[in-house]
Amino acid sequence: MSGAEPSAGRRASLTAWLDGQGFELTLRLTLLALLLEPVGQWDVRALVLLVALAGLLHEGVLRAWWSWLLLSALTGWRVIDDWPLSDNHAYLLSYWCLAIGLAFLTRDPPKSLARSARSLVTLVFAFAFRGRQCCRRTTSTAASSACSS
Amino acid sequence: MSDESAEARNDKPGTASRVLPLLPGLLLTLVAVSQLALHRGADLSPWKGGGFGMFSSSEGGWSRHAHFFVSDAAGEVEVDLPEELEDSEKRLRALPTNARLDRFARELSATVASEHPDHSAVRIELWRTRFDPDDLTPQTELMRDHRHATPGDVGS
Repeated sequence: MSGAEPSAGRRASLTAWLDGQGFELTLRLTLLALLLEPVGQWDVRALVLLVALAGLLHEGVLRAWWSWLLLSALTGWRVIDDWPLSDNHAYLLSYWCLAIGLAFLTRDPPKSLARSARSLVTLVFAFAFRGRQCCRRTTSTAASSACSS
Repeated sequence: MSDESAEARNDKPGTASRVLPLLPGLLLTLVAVSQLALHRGADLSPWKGGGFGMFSSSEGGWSRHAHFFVSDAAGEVEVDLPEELEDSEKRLRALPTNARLDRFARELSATVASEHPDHSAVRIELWRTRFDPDDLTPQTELMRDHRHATPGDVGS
């Protein structure tokens, strides 16, 4: 009983802190990821690094819809330029930057971003599961035709 | 009463707030459905194209491999992949469309011309390894066997 109360208290304070700071922390961690693991060829990479650095240093850039839509366009261009070799996380990075940019065009950006995040995570695993079903079926077909030949 | 309903209207999220958060997911869905269609129709690798097959399939780029052959009067010999075509070969393995196979064959023909000046055709074999879903036995199957005649090869 006495152990549960401090635990519940810690959880409540963490939740309160995340409610207050979670959105900004998410933005800054995204920019940090872009800064530490730069994407694309050098023409795209230089612009991504510039916007990410500006966002980390300047609150106005961090909270501007255009900077995130620009990052989404740049990371999206990387996917097109590298077609068909980009991995799934490259697509997801572009969608995520788009989600942040669009969230700033709504009345409640944290709530909008949370909705986008939930839908993105759900869809990623739904398509992965769909791919698994498809893969199992084609592999079984290939196996049975190999056995019959 | 009227103040309350005005407040309620202000609290109600607008169309933008309801629609905009759905757009990234809609874009993801469009791309992923296209990827599934390309996987079925053109053998796009499940790991590529934004369909998230990476999290469910072992058929990545590593599970596909290619062999290259040139033909001349003496017969057919296998050639190594030229270093300058490594990037094109990766793209070919990921999405082996006929157009891409033709383009790659032309590039290969031009690259091996100094070593095989009288070659009449190049052939590309693309193989993939799959694993049986029940006992994981690996099985190699031929995906593409593409022959491209060089302009001087009138016999094919």
